[in-house]
Amino acid sequence: MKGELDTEKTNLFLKLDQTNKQEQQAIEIHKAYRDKILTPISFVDLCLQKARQTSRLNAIVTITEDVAETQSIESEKRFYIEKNIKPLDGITIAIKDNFCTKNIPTTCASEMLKDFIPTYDATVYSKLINDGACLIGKSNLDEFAMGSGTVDSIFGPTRNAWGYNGDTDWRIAGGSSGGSAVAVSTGVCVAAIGSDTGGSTRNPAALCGVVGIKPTYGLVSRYGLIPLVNSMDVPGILARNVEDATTVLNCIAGPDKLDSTTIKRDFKPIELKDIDLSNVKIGIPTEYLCEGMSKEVIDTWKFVEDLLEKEKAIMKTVSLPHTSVSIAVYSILNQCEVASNMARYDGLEFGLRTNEDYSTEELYASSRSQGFNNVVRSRIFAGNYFLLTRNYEKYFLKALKLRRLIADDFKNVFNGENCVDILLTPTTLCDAPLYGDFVSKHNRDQCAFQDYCTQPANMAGIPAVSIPIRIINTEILSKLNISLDILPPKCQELISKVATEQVALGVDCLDPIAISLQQSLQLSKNLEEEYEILKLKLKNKELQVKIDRNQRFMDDLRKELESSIESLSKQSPNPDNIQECIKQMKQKVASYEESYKKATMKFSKLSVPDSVLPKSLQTQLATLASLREEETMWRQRADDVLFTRQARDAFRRRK
Amino acid sequence: MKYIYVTKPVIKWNTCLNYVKRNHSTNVNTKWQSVVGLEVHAQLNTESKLFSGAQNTFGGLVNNCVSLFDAAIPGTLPVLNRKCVELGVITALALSCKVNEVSSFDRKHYFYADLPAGYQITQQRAPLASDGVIHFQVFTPGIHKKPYKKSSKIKQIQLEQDSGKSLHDSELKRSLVDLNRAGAPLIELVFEPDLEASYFYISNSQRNISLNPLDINIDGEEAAALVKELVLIVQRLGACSGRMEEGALRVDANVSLRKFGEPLSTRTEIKNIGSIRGVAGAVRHEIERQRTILDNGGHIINETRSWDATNKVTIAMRDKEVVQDYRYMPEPNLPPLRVNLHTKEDTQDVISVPLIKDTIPELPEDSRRKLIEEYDLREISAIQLVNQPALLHYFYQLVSDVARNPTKVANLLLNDLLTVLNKRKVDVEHCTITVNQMKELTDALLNKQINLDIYRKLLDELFDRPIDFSVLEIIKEKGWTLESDETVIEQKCKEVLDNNPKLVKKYKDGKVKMLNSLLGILAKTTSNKMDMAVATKKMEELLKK
Repeated sequence: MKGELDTEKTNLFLKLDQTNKQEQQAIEIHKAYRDKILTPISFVDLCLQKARQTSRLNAIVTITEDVAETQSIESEKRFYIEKNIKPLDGITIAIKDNFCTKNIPTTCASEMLKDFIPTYDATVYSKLINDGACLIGKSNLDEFAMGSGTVDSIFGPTRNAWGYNGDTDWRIAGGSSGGSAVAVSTGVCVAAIGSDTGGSTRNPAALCGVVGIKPTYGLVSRYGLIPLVNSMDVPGILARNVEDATTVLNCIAGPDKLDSTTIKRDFKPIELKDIDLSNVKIGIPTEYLCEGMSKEVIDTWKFVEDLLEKEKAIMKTVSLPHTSVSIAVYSILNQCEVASNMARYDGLEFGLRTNEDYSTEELYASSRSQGFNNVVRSRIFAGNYFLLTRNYEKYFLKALKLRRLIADDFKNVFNGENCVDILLTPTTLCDAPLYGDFVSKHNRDQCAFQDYCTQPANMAGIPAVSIPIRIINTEILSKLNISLDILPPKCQELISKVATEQVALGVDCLDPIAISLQQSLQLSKNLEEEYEILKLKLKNKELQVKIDRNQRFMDDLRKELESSIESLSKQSPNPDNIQECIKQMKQKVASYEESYKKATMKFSKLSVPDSVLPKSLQTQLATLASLREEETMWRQRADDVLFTRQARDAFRRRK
Repeated sequence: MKYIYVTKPVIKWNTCLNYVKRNHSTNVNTKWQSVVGLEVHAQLNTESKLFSGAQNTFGGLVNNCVSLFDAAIPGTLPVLNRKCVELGVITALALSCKVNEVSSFDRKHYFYADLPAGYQITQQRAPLASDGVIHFQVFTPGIHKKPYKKSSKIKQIQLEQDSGKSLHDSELKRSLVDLNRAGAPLIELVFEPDLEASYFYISNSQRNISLNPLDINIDGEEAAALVKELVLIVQRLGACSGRMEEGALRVDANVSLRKFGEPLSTRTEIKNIGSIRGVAGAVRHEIERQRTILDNGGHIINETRSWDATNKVTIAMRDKEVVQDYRYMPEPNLPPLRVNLHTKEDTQDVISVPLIKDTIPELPEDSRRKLIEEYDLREISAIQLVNQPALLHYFYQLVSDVARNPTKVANLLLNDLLTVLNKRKVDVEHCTITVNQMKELTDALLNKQINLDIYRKLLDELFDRPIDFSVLEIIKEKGWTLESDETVIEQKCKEVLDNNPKLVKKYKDGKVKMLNSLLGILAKTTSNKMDMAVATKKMEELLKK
């Protein structure tokens, strides 16, 4: 019984997600601004409130209240006074803490940059701000974005909102842009910026149930993004739906003179259109089905495959033969560039500087060993080893060659006669691991496992998007069930009432609260439905009980009947010959009456007083009376028998 | 203005001077061949730095020409300065290099306080240009009797970043860092080790033939001449100021010695030589040092040395044990640099090499040929004129508009002007005499308005006058005009003859040389104002009467 209910729930959530996808929050919010149901200032305030409320999840490391408020005032001015509305006016964002923001601490979650306050803005941020976005805060990450769980941060780990109820163990948010993903999934902001080097945007998006886009390498400027691997880094976008993510992408994409690796062509904004899936060729790379992939993920993969097939998309199995080596190659290239990029942190111009003053070399050594965590230091060591002149060809050059082969794999799949338009793969190999399980593994293994499906796209520079499909974690689900089901009916009513009013006002999906109200509405609607179902089930049960009772009653009746039939058949006369008996009786009676008549006629002539009537006659009269009595008794009995027979027939028919 | 403080001097200077006294061994029968190869860093003459918009200037306020990128602030990215590529390409073309259609940038890693990023962006694997050659004249007055031609092959020319400057305060035991130079554009020219000279060192029972002092200088002077020619070329091209005293052009010399016919042996590298004479001195000293070690059965260690210009010795710089591994890696933030080799189509991102080729000016070698062939100058004059761009400029200006005798003009410039400048300790480049003044002055001399003596006096006088002050005015003011009126001269001559009857008598007795004495007296009494050519004629006439 329970299992059935869970599947129902999953489908409901899937539906919920789909309904959300159809709404474009940015547009809805702007509509509300125009209708003055909300204003940029009030909305930003709500988001800030939400950020504070969810502080236990540790998604935002620096809440930028002043900045957000100033920006919201600007937006409000543009909205209502200047009437010069920008595409992202009053849209709240969070930015991963490895993007430089002028006069706002940018820490990379590292001791090294704990007090680093940039004097310039990253291109991505300045473009967003130019378009009117309001910065709620800087979001948490793994130190220098080296990780896939947002667990290695000087601010502590970020907790996944799903299934979190404040107890000792909880699920990781994924990483390294975990803070951004949690901020979006909890409604702290409409969209967030992450960075994607080996899957750092898509991974937390998948684990937190939001959309995560990794644009083509060079489409979005990296200027101001503190680098992890320059040749793979891309600013990523996290949002609750594809439309919002697209709006943000359209804002931040395009060539940048400050980043020589950006694509020089002018960027044409992306318009989302309905597409005819029957023209779309979708590839399923066989190599992605790998060891360690959980059954649920495989099922979901299959589920989407079926979904697309149903929509008449052309599904093909394709091969990317170098997938399995990709993660090792990625690891080498990553460490080499890390070693190089981290060389600038010497404590002289910026960053942590210890008091070591014996010599410059000592100062370097102590600043760097205090400033970097183990993960960063070990990658620097490994990278420097790979880059040594004697190892260069053995590792780095080979890795570069393999990288070319991996990129060629994609080229081959996307070009040529048997090409496909997109590839369908899972983002992660499993759902969000529990924190305790996750941190028991080495960072290298964490990444090797979490990045398996995501990093090849970075190696090839191609775009990728992670879209939430369904919640596959039954435990989270059951927790949710409990928490929702145990809501007292009155509370449910209240929520639904508020939500209905909200809908009536047309302010659905506006701010974190409205969003949650909208969700509550949806939920309460769903709950109502469910309640109906339950009620019906209850009725059904009652009916069943009734039926059962009837059945039992009938059974009893039947038994009784059978026993009576038995007893009857043992009796003499039994119902079968009773008529004959009656006939005989009647004949007897008739014969007796005849003789009585003859006698009376005989004796009337005689006129003999009764007292003188012969004794024999008197006895004959008495016998007659008793016979009559007996006859009525038998008649009754025959009636009874007849009734039971009818009843039995009726029952049999019913049966 | 702010220095970035580093706690202690970064370099632990090796104070032990490995200076070995020149010790001419006479009992070793060896024949050494020295091999010298140069690496030259030339700062490109651009407004802004190689990868950032910060001002590229010498002598700016400390740490005042530093962009975020130059200080290696996280998140900043390099953007290649187009002008640097243009200057690099034009230099490469002037040195007949093959400009590479695609070149790329690499990171060279080492930790140093004045290298904020921990790596230098250079072009190690695929340089901007390769396979060139430089032809130059070797001629040092006092060492060489006559000029000779020499050439050196260029392995590659690469674009790279300069580092900042560390200033070591030994008293307070700290270093200060100035990043004004950090990220300035450089081209590194790597020459093949093909400056070779042989030293014969024969000892036999009869006599010891020691080294010819001229031979000792061969490599040093050739290296110096190469650098001089390079300076002239980059100056002509406007690619580099060539001011070695400002560090705009710095020379590293790789020096090794080998037995004749054997492969190259261990070399030492003398870093950052800051003058042309320094190049000659450092190479010479290093050859001497190495030879002494080898003659005494020692080994040369592969090490980096510096040139101490005051004591004229090379000094070991870094710890010998530490072999630097630069861990080269391709620079991922810069796409490969492409140039258009074939057409004159020039875009923002792709520079047309043929278009640049058209802008190459006359090069020193062309100038010398022109001076010899068209102006009929002696080879030495031509070399000297070309070596001093300011003088060459005067020369061209003086011989171009009116027909002035080129040889005379050249001699005036090379002898008289230089003498005056040397006396006043003024660099030729800073000579304030204008072309106009020079023309007036030269014309006055050639038209015999003044004589050579006055000419020199005037040159000197001009330095104390306002810029472009009229020469004729000074002549008038000082009354320095040459007397060429024959009657006046005749009158003066008569006076001299009348006053010196003894000398006249001697002359008439056959001592013709007395004419000179008489002319001398004439010059003296008339303060050098007579046209001596006319005076000589008149004097002779008068004496013969």
